[in-house]
Amino acid sequence: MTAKAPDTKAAIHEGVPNSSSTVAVVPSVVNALANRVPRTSTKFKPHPPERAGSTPVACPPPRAASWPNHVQQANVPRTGRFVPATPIQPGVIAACGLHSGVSQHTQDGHWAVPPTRVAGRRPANPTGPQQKRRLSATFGKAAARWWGIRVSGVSAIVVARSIGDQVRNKSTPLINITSPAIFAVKDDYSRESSPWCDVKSMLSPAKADGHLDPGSNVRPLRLATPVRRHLARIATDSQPLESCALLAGNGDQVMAIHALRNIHPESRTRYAVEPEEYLQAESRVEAQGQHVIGIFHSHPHSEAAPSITDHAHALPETWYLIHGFPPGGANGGELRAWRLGNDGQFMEHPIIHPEAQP
Amino acid sequence: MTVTIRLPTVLRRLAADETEVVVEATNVGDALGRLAQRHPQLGQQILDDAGAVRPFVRVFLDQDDVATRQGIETPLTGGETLRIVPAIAGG
Repeated sequence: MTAKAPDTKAAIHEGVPNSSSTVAVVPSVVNALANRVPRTSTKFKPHPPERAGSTPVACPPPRAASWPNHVQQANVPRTGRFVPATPIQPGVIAACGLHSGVSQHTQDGHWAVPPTRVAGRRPANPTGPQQKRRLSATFGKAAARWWGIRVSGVSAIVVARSIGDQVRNKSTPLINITSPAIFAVKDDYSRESSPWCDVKSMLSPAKADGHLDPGSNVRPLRLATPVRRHLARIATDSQPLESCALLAGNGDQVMAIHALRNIHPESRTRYAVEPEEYLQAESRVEAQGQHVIGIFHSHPHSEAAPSITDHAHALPETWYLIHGFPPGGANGGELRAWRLGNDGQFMEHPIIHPEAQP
Repeated sequence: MTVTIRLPTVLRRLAADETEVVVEATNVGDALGRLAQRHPQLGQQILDDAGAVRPFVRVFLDQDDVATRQGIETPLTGGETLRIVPAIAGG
């Protein structure tokens, strides 16, 4: 992360494995971008240690009417540990019976949902309606790695996670909520082999009974799986240097990627695009009837969260997709989407896969 | 002098989705100042409090980077196109 490329042009070419053209270094840009603050974000701090040995939250006996047809009620023990009999596919939210309130923690540390972290303070009555209102009012602001959905009539959430091309239900989480409610979900699998949570699997089934809270500012980015794979390939191929690209599309849907050359001399930890190349890429995007809706870049040595440098260059109303390779994380890394909020701070948004919509 | 300022897509949302803005100006700084008056949010992204172009913003007069000429003092004769390019950069 702190290593520097000894030679500018060598570093540039190394960062663009597929590029055979001569890279035009713009001295003013290079000079301007050099010597900036190191990436030591104070906003995106690591999560606290997981709560090993958390006491399982009791879950009342499930009500048969709450269950999707393919989830067997009998497999939900009273401890709340949720073990579906059949694999849960993306697009499933399974209920385990109505239960009032939001649990302070769940059965595995990966899904600890302490209301204090979401709301910023511990409510007097963690299971009361005020707590739910706090959740809906604060998630996404105080905790960038949380997002929420609104559902009705469910009290347990099952998320099918994508691991490469496979979908797994291992370590199925469970959250007790009342109905209807907006709840926060943590999307953090950096400690496991899964690079991301299949967020779409949670949004899609919520359509029938719930919707994204309009006041939450949660704004899913629609990203087709082939495009996502393309981005992952760009990020992987450019390692150990940072890669970058323009995101073309309309609104919140990414439709194409235009890879750009990283001309920054410290391309292990920085990226910069030659202005002329940006203009050319933008012209290509517009010629296809699309718009530049965001910017992609990779973090070869850290998590997929914006750095201070990213923040310094961030544009409003623009998507920022970051593919990160956190130490100890999955080989394939993780892809996360961000936008500047009204408060000028980055806020994470879920990524959904439109081709998988029912 | 009438000049056209062409906006990059990533900044158009700050300018009511306008693609181009036509202003009357005698030099580049004057043109950018008038643009900022018309679209204050956009102006904040381009100019600092002193009216100078922000370090990570590039301005092209036709094909030339104005930094290679006289900067914001570069005179305009009319009919030119200014292009603003935000820094696509980070870390």
